[in-house]
Amino acid sequence: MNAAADSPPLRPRLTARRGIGRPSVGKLAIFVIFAALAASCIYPLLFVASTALRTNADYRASPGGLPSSFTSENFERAFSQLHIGRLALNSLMVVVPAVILIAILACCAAYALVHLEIRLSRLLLAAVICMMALPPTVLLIPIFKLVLDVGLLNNRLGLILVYTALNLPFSIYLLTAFMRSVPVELLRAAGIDGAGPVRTLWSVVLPLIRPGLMTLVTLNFLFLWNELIFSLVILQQGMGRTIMVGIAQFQAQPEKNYGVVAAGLLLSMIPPLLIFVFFQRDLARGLTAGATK
Amino acid sequence: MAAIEIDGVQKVFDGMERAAVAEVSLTVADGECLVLVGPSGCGKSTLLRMIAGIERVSGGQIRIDGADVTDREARDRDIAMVFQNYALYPHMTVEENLHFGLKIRKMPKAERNKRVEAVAQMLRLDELVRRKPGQLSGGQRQRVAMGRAMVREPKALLMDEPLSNLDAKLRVLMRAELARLHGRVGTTTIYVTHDQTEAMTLGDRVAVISDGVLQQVAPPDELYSSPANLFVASFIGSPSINVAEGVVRDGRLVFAGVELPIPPVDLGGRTRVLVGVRPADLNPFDKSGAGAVPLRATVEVAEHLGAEMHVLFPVVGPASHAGTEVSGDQGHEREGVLLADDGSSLFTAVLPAVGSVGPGDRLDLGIDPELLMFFDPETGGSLQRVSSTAGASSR
Amino acid sequence: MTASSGAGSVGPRTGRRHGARHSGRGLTRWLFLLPALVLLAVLIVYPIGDAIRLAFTSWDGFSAPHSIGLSNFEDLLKDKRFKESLLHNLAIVVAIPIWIAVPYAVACGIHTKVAGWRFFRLVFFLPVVLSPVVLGAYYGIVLAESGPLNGALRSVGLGGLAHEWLNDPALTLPVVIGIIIWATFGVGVLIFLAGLANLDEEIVEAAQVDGASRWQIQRHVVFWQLLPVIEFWTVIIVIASFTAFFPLIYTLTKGGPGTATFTVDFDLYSEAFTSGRLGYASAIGVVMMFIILVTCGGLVALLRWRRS
Ligand SMILES: Nc1ncnc2c1ncn2[C@@H]1O[C@H](COP(=O)(O)OP(=O)(O)O)[C@@H](O)[C@H]1O
Ligand SMILES: [Mg+2]
Repeated sequence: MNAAADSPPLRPRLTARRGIGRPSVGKLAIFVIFAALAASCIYPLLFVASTALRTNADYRASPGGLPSSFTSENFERAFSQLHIGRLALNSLMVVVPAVILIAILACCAAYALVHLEIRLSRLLLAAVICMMALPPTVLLIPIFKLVLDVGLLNNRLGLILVYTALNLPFSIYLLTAFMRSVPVELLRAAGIDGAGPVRTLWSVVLPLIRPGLMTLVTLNFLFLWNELIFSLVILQQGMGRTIMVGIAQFQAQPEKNYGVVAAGLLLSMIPPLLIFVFFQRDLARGLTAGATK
Repeated sequence: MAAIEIDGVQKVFDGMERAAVAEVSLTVADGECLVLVGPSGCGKSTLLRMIAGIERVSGGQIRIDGADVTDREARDRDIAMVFQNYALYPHMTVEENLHFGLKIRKMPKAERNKRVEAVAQMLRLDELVRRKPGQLSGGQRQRVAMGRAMVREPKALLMDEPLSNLDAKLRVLMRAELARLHGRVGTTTIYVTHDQTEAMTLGDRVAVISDGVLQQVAPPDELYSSPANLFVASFIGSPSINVAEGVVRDGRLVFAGVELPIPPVDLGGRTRVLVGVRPADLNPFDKSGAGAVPLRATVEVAEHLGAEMHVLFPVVGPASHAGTEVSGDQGHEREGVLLADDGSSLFTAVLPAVGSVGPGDRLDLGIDPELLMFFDPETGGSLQRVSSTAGASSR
Repeated sequence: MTASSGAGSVGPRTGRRHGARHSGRGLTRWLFLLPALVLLAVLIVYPIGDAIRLAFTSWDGFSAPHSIGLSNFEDLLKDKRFKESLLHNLAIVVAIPIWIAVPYAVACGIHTKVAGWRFFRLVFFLPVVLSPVVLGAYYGIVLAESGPLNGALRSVGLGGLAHEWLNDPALTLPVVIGIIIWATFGVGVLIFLAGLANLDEEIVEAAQVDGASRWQIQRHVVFWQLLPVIEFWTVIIVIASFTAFFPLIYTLTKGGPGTATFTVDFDLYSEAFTSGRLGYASAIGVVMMFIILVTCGGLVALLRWRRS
């Protein structure tokens, strides 16, 4: 047998592991199952896009099929009825500050926990990990009460602070892993060169953990953009609502217009999809952190 | 037990231009221990993995016990392998590790126990059977890995640098242990190492590989005394062979600043050749044989090793460049040849330790023309002796 | 490791203490930690305590909460909807083996470099980046009585398979669980792929040489090596099984039909913000926290015990 006749292996060692004269029926079966699964993952995009682009009458004619004519009416109504532009802006005004705040606080905290001699740093890190495991729903009511008591209900600042706190434990944990990969010698060298801790963090550590920071920012943006429950409870008032709350409430109306809902969904998917396309690697890195230790 | 025949086996990794293993043909006799040796990266492991069946061949054929196994999976080849990092199953106890290969093959429990017990005893693992690999020392893990291979009573035993993760002392001990085990069990064995000392001490025969190409297969003493080419000559032996250019003038050989009679070697009309002399073949002049020619050495470095000493001294004449990539004994790789300050060659002599020899001292050494080796300066190939009587006097 | 690392000492690489030399004396280094700690203390640690306190009160969200002792918990014992929600969460827990097996199997498939594996790895991740709100709305449309799925089934002559996916008490909960598994398996695949990439290949090869078939290698070698990763994923989905359902249920079924898809987190939200019984909802939260604590703790202990 000419071994090279088979489909060219991408990594020879891995191919070799599967043995030499292997049957390909199993592989075909895997391929078919994977293809079906992949279709289920892509179809939502196609469906939402096609529904958003066609008239309601056209949709009713064949809901799952292809559109026979195109219209921009659904998008116009998404802006006029669903106020999708306003909702997106609301979301951005909460999510962007929160993401920045998280990045700053997590950076400083992780730096201190890993590289500055802090008593109890082990204990603090353990506490942070425990908070990660805490289901946020449990905190819903006491946080609502707290926000209410300090008068930040229906105030963006309230939601920004809540989002920051909720995502901080995971973010600190993620960054400590990156912080540990910064060689101690380098920090000592910076110290000998006369740099203080702030200087060292800014000009030595930060450049080295840039990939970690990217991961953190993209992941948090995605989480917060998609978040529903806290946003629902803290920004209840009509004009301040975030995009997910707006869409959730709009599509819950009994006489909803599928085309408008689809247009809203499609627009709300843009930021996540951009992240998916451009920062896939960062997301993957963040989501698998801690899995292999 | 079985013979292994390797016939023109080749491996070209995807995206690589050069073959990692280039058309190697070898036969390992039933019960023999063959050692594959060569500098790291030369393709030893790849060849071994192809024999084991965990790497596909790109060409050629592998036969075990007469049967063509080229297309068979590893598990259908009935061979066992000892890995560099031992590859013990970390979640199983030593006992379970030993049992695994037999259990997979559905061997009845009673027989399994018998075999495992016997092997555990032979390798002195009895005390350790309930432990997990994580609780063992390096040497113990090594023995378990050996045991796991041996309980299978395979047709052939393949080992890939099994001692390289042990510290120097333990390595020497285990080397002797391996020789003892092979003597007792006598399984056909292919042993991979980059350490020429290991190769020389363990192999019934040694196959030297360089850049994927088989250089020579021969018993250790033959490899030492009649290397097929300059690479083998430089790779085998420690300290490494001394090589310098020799010029034939008026029927005499001028080499390392001395003039010698030309031994009966077929020079093929060449006037320039590379001449090699083993450090151990340079002796004090008064202790050299009758035909020896005196060579006056000015010591540059003297390494005192107790019973013997290594003396480094410059010789006249340009250094040879053919012997690049010479591998030292303990796996250190030296690039090229040692050079003195003025660019001339540095020779090494292994002498019995006498008093305090230091830099600047002068020594009278003897070169026996009968012990010289000659190589083609272009190809590095060995130039053969004409008469057979000459070969007898060299070791 | 000692606290005083001498000036000239070449300390161990792991020496966290080295930082001391450039961290300055006094409290400057605490200033790095302080903002994060304050925020966590105020918005996480304090609320945990408050959650427990509120569980013993009656509170409508407007007037001040007043203490009513254990009566919230007594009511919980008699609360049919809560018990049903718990039962639904139990059903989700029962589905956890599938929730582990699907991404595990898919990751193994991708790891063997099935044709198009790069594409699959990318696409399987797509649902992960989409908001549960989006997925809920999407499935709300697709699975509707007269929606595209039933339409497609009827058009290919499989009308018998068409169901009221979202309006059938027996069917809707499995559908919701299926959607959650589908929406999260991409993360699992990534996590298992990371585990597989860290696999000690030499050990797999040793098993091959030892005579193990592909399945035996999976069962006896790969599985055991991946156990820590499985454990990690299990803890994540156990937590998720109590908290990840809310946005989907909120957008897809609102707990219906009837109470067929009420889960504990959705029940908590409904009690608090639909019925205005925030004290009672806090009691639900405390019970939930307790259950997760016990489940995860028990799980980790069990896995640890099995491994040693
Ligand atoms: N899976 C692989 N893919 C590509 N090249 C490889 C692979 N494995 C080994 N090689 C190359 O093949 C050559 C021989 O490797 P190897 O057999 O491991 O050498 P060694 O003699 O040290 O055991 C090396 O140059 C190595 O880089
Ligand atoms: Mg090797």
